[in-house]
Amino acid sequence: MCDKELLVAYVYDEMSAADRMRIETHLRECAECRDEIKGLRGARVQLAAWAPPELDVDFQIVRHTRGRPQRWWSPAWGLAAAATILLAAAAAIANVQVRYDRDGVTVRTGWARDAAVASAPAAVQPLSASNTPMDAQYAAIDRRLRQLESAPARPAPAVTTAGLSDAEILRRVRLLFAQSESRQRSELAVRVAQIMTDVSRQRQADLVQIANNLGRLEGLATRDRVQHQQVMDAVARLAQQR
Amino acid sequence: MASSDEELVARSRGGDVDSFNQLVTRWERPIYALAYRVIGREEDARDVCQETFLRAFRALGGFKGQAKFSSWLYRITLNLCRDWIRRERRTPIAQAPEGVDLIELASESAPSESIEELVARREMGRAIARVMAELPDEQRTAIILKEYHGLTFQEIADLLDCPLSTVKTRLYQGLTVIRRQLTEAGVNR
Repeated sequence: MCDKELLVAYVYDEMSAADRMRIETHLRECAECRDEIKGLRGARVQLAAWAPPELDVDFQIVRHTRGRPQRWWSPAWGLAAAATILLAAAAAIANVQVRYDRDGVTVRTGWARDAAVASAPAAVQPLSASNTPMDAQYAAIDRRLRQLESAPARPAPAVTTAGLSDAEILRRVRLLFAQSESRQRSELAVRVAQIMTDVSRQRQADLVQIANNLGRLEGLATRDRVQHQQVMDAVARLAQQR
Repeated sequence: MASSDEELVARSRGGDVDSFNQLVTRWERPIYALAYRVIGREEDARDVCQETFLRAFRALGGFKGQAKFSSWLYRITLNLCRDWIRRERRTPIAQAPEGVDLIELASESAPSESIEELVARREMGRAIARVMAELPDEQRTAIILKEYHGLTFQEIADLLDCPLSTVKTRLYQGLTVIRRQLTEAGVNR
């Protein structure tokens, strides 16, 4: 029998030319080793079917340069990034317009861009730049972020949005939506295929069952016919005796 | 033209975080795949992947470039996986969650691949995962590094601190067991 290490080296094509020539000469004479090589290669082909799930999180190292002590992996920043992306998506969908001028901050929302609608008083909400409720909301968000950062949470991948433009954020949101749709379509296709396979299996099982039942019925009918014939023969014999 | 690992490492050591993030982007999928195949749990593999880069970043000053950067990452990952297996005191369960496995396989399907073939490939993937989970750790690790990461026998020997001949023996034994068990399970291509 051949050297196993040599067989493995041959299967992975990681050997010197001299060794390769030596084993190929041997393989021409040894059927057992040929089978061995075939089996090892077959196992390698099958291994290719094992794929890990898609990694859907991008890790990033984030350097904090201001304020609190540095923490590289912060769950709060992940949440903040997600909130930013959602906000941008919502703004895009709801057609939000924000303008800052001498009258303060103006926020306009609405699906239509019609000028008449846009100028309607109900759709325009002038806000003061030093609006107290907004300050309070900022303070609440800040408190929540600090609370999350100080909580002993499972480390989550951090993402930074610093320096990203709205267009880039929107592009990423659209990309996420597209990937999600693609995954859902693929999953649906596979599930449908699985159901079809199950239905097909059940149908085959039912057909076998029906065939068995028909066979049994046929057997019973034959037996009844034989019994009936025997009775008729007995009656005929009795009639002849009389 | 993309920078080499060595160039990015050098810049990272000089304090350039963006360069290190490029290395993360380049290597996160192979590292995650390695962790997933060794420990078999998606969430834990993600944690191991994250921890690998965190440790690499912190230890970057000590990395002198004697080995390839990827080999260094693989070593950190394998150490973390070994710690995970020891800590959890259980053998890895190399089975992807139902939904994730489906999605992954579906997304990988070639345009010419029929749905029936896709389902068959999924079944095969599950069977492989089960058989791999039953292999001894050293055989499973050798096969993963060779089959899915394309390392040479020598690189595997260096990573696992064992002789070259031991690597080949582990590969032979592992492949033989896989072939036999798949045949017994009636799984064939």
